[in-house]
Amino acid sequence: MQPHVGVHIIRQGAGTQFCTSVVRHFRAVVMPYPVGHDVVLPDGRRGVVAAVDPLDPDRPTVRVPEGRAFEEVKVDMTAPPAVLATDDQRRSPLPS
Amino acid sequence: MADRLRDLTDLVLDSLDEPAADGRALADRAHFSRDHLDRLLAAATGESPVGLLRRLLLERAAWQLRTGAATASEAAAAAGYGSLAAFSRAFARAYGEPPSAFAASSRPVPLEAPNGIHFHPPAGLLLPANPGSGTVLARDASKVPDPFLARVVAHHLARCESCWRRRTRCRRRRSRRLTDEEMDVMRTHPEAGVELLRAADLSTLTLSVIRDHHERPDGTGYPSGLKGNAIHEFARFAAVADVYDAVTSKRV
Repeated sequence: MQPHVGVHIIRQGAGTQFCTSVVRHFRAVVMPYPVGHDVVLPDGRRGVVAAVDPLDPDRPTVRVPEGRAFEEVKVDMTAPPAVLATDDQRRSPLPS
Repeated sequence: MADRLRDLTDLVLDSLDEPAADGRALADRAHFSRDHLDRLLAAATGESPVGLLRRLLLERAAWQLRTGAATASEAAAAAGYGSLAAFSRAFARAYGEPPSAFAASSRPVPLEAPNGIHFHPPAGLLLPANPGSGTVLARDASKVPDPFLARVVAHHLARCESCWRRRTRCRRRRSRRLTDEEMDVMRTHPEAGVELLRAADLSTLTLSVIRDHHERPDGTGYPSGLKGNAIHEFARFAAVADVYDAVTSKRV
């Protein structure tokens, strides 16, 4: 499964499944959209994550090819729908 | 320079899932001529890239047979052999016994090699092993009486995929729930892991983390149903890491 889904699961379990302060530290180091990942933007375009601000991990800077050049955009990935392009074929998650 | 060697061996290791990759393909990926890559790796490891790849594939097949992750014919296909007969021949030449006898034998999984590069289970922990006796896992998993339990333990120690593989193979349905019985066995795995690793000379703290990594702050975890701060901080780390890893990693 894609990293952002994993991060989401950890976030949802904070307080019940997982210790809140551990989750806070986890969120500070594990980015839901790691640099270098292919992503499909909410508007349907494809790009590659170029940078992530650890203080605002859900809004990575994404490079989108525009003809021969690149456009760098800061995207709010929380806007639906957002799917990581490379992981479409992955198997569904299994509970641990 | 050491890092460069690491890159090259990683390149070979990464191509384990494409057993058809030949010397030329490997060299292309390293941006070297084939001769140059052969010379470099031979000088550094004493084996040619293809020889190394072939040995690692056989070791992986041996590991799959030993843990029951794959049948002989599946292992043969995964190791790039066109026929079971060819695989059996190559396997018998390397291990001195046919694949069918290997699962039950005590022969170590790693083959003799001029270097220390061996297959180890997917992203596995590098557990201390006595020289020549295989990994702790390969040696001790067979001592656990219940094969399913052995698999669950193996899964957690070395992210062995066989338990999940078994589930997916059962029904070809990806999200089949464990039955209650399987769940009960599953719930014993942290303690079984501790038992298994007692011989591995780990600290008490490490063992306690292994025991408590399925405890949950709200008391719904197992084996002890501990709550909140009764769970050691490291075990709380391990719980987060374990779940994140379980949902994001590709189970082969």
